[in-house]
This record gives sequence, structure tokens and C-alpha cells, in this order.
Amino acid sequence: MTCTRVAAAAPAIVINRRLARSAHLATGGRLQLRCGDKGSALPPATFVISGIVDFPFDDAGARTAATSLDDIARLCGETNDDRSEILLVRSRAGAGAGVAAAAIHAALPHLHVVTNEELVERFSRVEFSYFRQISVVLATVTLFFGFLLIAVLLTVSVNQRLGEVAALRALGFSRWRVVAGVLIESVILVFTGGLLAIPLGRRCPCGWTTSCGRCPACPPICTSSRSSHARSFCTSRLLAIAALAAAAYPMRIVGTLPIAATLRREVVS
Amino acid sequence: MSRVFPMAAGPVAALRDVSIGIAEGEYLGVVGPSGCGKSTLLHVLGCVDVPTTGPIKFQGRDVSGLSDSDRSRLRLREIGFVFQRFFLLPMLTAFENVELPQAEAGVARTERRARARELLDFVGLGPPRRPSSFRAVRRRDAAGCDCPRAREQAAAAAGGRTDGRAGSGDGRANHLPPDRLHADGTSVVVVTHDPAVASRARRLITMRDGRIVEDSTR
Repeated sequence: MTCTRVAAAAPAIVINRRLARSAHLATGGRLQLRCGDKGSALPPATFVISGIVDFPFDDAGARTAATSLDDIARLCGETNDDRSEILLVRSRAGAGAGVAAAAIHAALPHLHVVTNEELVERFSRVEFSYFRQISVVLATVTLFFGFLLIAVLLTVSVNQRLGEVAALRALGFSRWRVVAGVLIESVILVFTGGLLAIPLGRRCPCGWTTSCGRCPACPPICTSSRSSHARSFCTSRLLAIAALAAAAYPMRIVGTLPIAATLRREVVS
Repeated sequence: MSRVFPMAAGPVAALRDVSIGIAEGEYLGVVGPSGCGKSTLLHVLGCVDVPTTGPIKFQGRDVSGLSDSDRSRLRLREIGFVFQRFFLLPMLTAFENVELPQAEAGVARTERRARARELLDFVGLGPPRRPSSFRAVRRRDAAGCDCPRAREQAAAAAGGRTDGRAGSGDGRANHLPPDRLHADGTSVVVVTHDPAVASRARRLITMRDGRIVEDSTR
């Protein structure tokens, strides 16, 4: 908005002290305002200053003026149809938000009535989904690097023990027995890591939820025991897949190991 | 039988028309220059490798066409090896190393423990220790304990083969596992470069270029 001093009768407006000082205005003075920039096609409107006030949410350097919604609408060329986007209603003490919402909905069925709890739940489901997305991305990256680490570890370990593996095969250990040995090593590595990491991963968000439990915006991370069991099952399944994937290449090495050639090579080298 | 390895530069025949019979309880030595096919012969006789052509008969049964798992089972129950490098599992004690193949063969715990103790006593290795704490000859002795267990596990076992190169370069001939195995009635095949070891075998085969050029019995 732009402002200049004018001398004509007009609707009332209040201004803050900074604006009054900078434009040398006083109560009873007149102020001409234009909606938009200087080049705006809308005609300016003249207001009478009815008071100089402090606005509690003003910035230190703000020059603020306030008038009625009707006058603003006239100034900016809009029609005031007196419609609200949102209405906040406080329920009676002891009645509860649900009762109030039901009563409003019964009286005005065309209104969309929601309680704070419903709103927070909707936020948890929709607005906080990015928390879950970040969690999924972090978990996937962690799982991938865990898989990579164990796969490399197992591959190096198996390559260093080719002679022993070939000797065991020569002594009569079946192909599946030595392959299963590698798989068991992988499972032990992955699940040992999981046993250490999962309780820690559980404890952190639970502590966080407890510490900000009073804040209604916190997404519910620690939920019922049923979903906890589902998560445990999902985690175990992911760990099992990681163990199997990490062991796949070393298992192939062991499974296709030529016994005679390996023994010959190990003895000669 | 013959054994041909396909190589990039062309096929290499490690065994050429070799025909050999080994009697029950026989002590056979195999000598020859490096690359003459001694190890290949041992691997084929031990059912670790299969011949390219020709049959391998074990106790009158053709085993050259057996599947990998059947050959593994045969090796586990009927055949033993002492490797030049021993290949004892370092994380296990000597006792556990001896016990391990028996466990794989399904021998009951008490039975295999008693057998492992007996075998270690037989070669002079007493209380359970890590193989890394043994001197080389002791490691070889621990490795040699795998051979009699093969014979003991199967009720009708008749053969055990040993890579006698384990004894090469060692002056303590009375500690050689092949001697002990043979004394126990096991068929023994020793592949060696050491004339002292070879001289202990009653039958000696000399190989050259994948062929048996001499087969003598003393």
C-alpha cells in the first residue's frame, strides 16, 4: 500500500506509531491509500485516522494501518460477501470437543466440522508422512550399506579359506553343507547387528515421543503391541533378506568351488 | 582311464590311459617328477575328481558316474585324506578337528568323542589344544586322524587314501600317518617326492607325462 496526506472526509482507519511518525500523521488526520503498487489502475481511497495504536505482532520497522474488512474490500475492488474460511469453536467445560462437534454438525449439516484430535490425526497420516519417507530412505540406505559390508566381509573371508573349504569337501562334506555354513555365518552377522541396533532404534523414538508427549503434533511412533509385533516381523524379514543377499555371492563361490583344482592351487601357492 | 583338462592354450592330458588296481590293505607309493599326474591320480582315486574317460571302481562298484552328493557321501564314509598343508580349522582344537568329520557322518556324540580321544592318543596328542600351538609334525598327525575315522565309521569300510606328501622332508618316519594307517590294515596311497617315504611302500608306481612307466612290488 502507498500513503499520502489528504484533506477530505473518509472512512475510519487506525495506524501504528511508526507510520504516524514517518508520515507526520495525527488522530483526525486523513490518509489516502491505494491498493497495490503506484501504477495500480484501482483509484485511491481516503481514510480518516481514528487512532494511533500499537499492534502486538508488528515488526520493529513495520508501518501498519488497520480498517474494516468492508473498507479494505472497497479499496481493493472486491465484494465483501461476508464468508469465513474457518471458525474456531471452544466447547463447554466438561462437554468435550466431540460432543460440540456433533452438535454443530447436527445443527448445520453443510459445515465440515472437525475436532482438534481429528485434525492432528489427519496431520499424522498426511502431513507427517515425510517423516516416514525419510525413515524409509535412511533405513534403505543403512540396510544397503550393511548388506554391502557383510557381503564384502564374507567374500574376503571365504576367499581366504578356499583351501579349508576344499579340504572339507574332499573329506566328504556335501556342497550344500559348506554353502549352508556360509549362509549361517551371514545370518549370524546380520542378526547380531540387528539385535544390537533394533532395541536402540526402538528406544530413541519412544523416548522422543515421551518427551514431547504433551505436544499434539507429535506423530504417534510407539503404538500398540500388535503393530509392534508387525514391525518386528517386518524387521526380521528385512534382516533375513539382507543376510541372504549378502551371502549370495560367497555361497556361489563355495558352491561352485572345484575341489581338486583348489587343493592343487593351495598346495602349490 | 584318462583325465584331460581344457585349457585356454588347448586341452592338457594329466592322465593318459592309466589302469591301476589297489588291493585291500595295500600300501602304494606314487612317485614321479612334478606335473607328471601324481596328484591328479590321487584326486581321481579319492573320488575328488572324475576321469574324462574310463571307469573308477570302488569295491567292485563303478563310482565314476556318481552324483556330487553321492561322491561326497562315499568320501565321508570310506576315504580319508592327509593334506600337505593339513587344512586343520584354526578356530577349533585338534580334538574338535578330529571330531568334525565324524559329526558330519552322523556318528553319535559320545561315540565320536571317545573315538577322537583314542585317535589323538594314538598319534600322541593329548589334551585339546589349538592346531596353531602344534609344531608342523604334530599338525600333520592331527590331520592324519581323519583317515582312520573314515574306516571306522563305515561298518564295511575297506579303504583310505592318504596324500603322503605330508610326510615329506620329515626325518621321523615312525610318526608318519601312512605307516600307522597301513599297520591298522587300511589301504594307503602315498604321493611323494621323498625317496625315504616312498621306500616304505611295498608297491611303488613311477609316473611320467600322465602315464605309469613303472609298477614294482617289493
